[in-house]
Amino acid sequence: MISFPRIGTRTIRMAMIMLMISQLCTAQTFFAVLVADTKDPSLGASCEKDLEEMSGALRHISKKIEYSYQEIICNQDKFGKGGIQEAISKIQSKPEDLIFFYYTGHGIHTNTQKSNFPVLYLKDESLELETIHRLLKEKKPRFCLTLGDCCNNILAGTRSMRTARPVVRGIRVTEDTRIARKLFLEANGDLLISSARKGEKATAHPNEGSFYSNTWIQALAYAEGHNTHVSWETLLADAENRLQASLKSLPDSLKHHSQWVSSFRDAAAPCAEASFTEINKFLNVLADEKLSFADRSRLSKLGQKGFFGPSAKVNIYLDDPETPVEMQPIDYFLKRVVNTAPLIDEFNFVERLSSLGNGCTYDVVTLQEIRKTR
Amino acid sequence: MTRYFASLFVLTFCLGPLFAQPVMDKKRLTEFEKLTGQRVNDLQHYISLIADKSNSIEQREQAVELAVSLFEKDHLVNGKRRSPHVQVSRRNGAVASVPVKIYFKNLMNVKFDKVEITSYDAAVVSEFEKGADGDYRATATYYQQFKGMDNKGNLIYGSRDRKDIRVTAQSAAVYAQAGKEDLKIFFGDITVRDTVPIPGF
Repeated sequence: MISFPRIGTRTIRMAMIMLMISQLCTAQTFFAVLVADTKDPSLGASCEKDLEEMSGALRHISKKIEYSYQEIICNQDKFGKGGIQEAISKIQSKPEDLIFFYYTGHGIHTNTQKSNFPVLYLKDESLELETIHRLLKEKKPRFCLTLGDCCNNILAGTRSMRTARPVVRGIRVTEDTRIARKLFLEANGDLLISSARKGEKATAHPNEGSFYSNTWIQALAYAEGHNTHVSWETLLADAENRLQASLKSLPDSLKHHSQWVSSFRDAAAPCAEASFTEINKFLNVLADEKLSFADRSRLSKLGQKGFFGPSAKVNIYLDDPETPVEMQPIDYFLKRVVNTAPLIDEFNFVERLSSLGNGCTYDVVTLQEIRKTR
Repeated sequence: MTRYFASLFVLTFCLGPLFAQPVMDKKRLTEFEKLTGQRVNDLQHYISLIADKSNSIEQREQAVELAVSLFEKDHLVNGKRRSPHVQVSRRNGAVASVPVKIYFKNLMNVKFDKVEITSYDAAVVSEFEKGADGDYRATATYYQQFKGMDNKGNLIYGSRDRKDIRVTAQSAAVYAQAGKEDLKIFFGDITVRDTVPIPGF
C-alpha cells in the first residue's frame, strides 16, 4: 500500500506563494531603451513628443502580448554614449524576451563608415546604430528591433524642421491582439531600421515629432486595426508609403526614405500582389495631383484590372470603418479619384473589412478617404 | 388564433427591422453633413474642370458625368418630368434657371476664350432635419467666383455668387444584403442667393 505524506495548509499556502513568485520571475520581458535628444535647442520639443508617443505605443504592445514592460529612458543628462552603454548593460535578457531600441535626435554619416546606417550624434561621443544593434543582439533575445530616426548624411546638426503636419488621423484602437502577437512574438531574429538612407536628411515637425516615427507608429496602429495579414516587411513598406505621402509637398532634395535589414524571412501572405501595402500604395499614387490626368487615368485602368473584380463595391467611411457613409461601384469610385485628386490627402485601405472574390481581386473594399484641409 | 399571433410576431419582430426607417443619431447625421461638405467640394471642383478649356475634352466630359451623378434623378411632378435646376446670374443682372444637364453642357461651351471658376470661401452645410416623408434635408452654401477672359487674359466679365444647394439624404437600401438601410445624399435645385461684382471689376 502506498502512503502519501500529510500536507498541512501552511505548506500548501507556502507552495502557492512560491509558485506565484516563480511565475513572476519567469514572466517574459519587453525591454525598451528609448534615447531622445530632448535638450537640443532645435530638435528638443520634437524629440520629447517622439519619446512620449513611442513609449505609449510600446506599452500598448507589451500589454497586448502580455509581456512585462521595462523601459529605460536616456534623455537629458543620460543622453550620451555613457547613458546608452549603462542602459544596455542593465538588460538581462532571456531567450523569450524582446528588446527594442529607439533613437530620436541628430545623426551623421561619415565617409570612412562601412555601414549604410547612421552614426548617432550624441552629446559626448558618437555611436554607430549598427554597433548598438549588434550589442543588443548579443543578449540573444527572441526578437531585437533597433530603430534610428535621425539624419544619415555627412553634415551634422542639420535635421530639417518642417511645419507641415504628419497625417495621423482616424486610427482605431483595437483590443484584438492577433496582429501584435504575430509581429512581436512570431518574428524570431532581429530587425534594424533607420528613417533615412545614406546621404539623406530626416525631417521633423517642431511640435508634432519626427515624420518617420509618426508614420511608423501610424502604420503599426493601422495594421493592428485594419489588417488580416501582416508581416514586418509589409508594415515597414506601409510606413515608407506613409512617409512619402507626408513628404510629398517637399522638394525632392529634402525627401528621405527609410531602410531596414532583418535576419528572418516573413511568411508570404496569400495574394501578395493584392496585399494591403500594394492597394494602399496604388490608391495613394492615384490621388497624387502631381501626375497628369492622362497618367492617373492609365494607372486607374491598370489598377482596376489588377486589384478589383469587375463588379467590386467600395465602402467609404469617415471615422469608423464599421459604419461606412457611402458605397460606390469600383469604376465610378476610381473615376472620381482620378478627377478629384487635388482634394484628397490620403487613403487607408481596411483589409479586415474587405473581401477577395475569385482569385486575387477584391469584390468588396472598405477604405477611409481623408480630405485635404482647405 | 395561434397562427395569427405567430404571423403577427414574425411581422413585428422579424420583418419590421428590415423595412424600418434608419435610426439616425446626432453623431451619424454629423457624418453625413461632413460627407455632404465633401461632395459639395467635389461639385465645385468638377465645375472648375468643366469650365477650364485647357483641360482635355475627355476630362471635361468625365467631370460632367460625375457632376450630374451627384444630383437627384429626373422625377415626375404633376405628371411632368422634372430634373433639378441650377440658377445662373447673367451679365445683365438677371437670374435664369436651367436643368442641371443643360447647365453643365453650357459650361462646356461658354463663349469666353478662357474661363476660370473657383471658390472664394469654404462651403458650409446646415444641420440635417427630418421631413414628414422620412427623408432628411439640409442646405449647402458655396461661394463661386466666375471670370470670363479674352485670348490675351483680359477680364471681360467677372462675378461672385453665393449659391445654395438643396440637399436630400434619402433612405436607401445601401446595405441591402445585410438587411440594413442607410442614407444616400442627393443634390436638388441650386439657387443664387446673391451676386456681387469682383472688386476692381
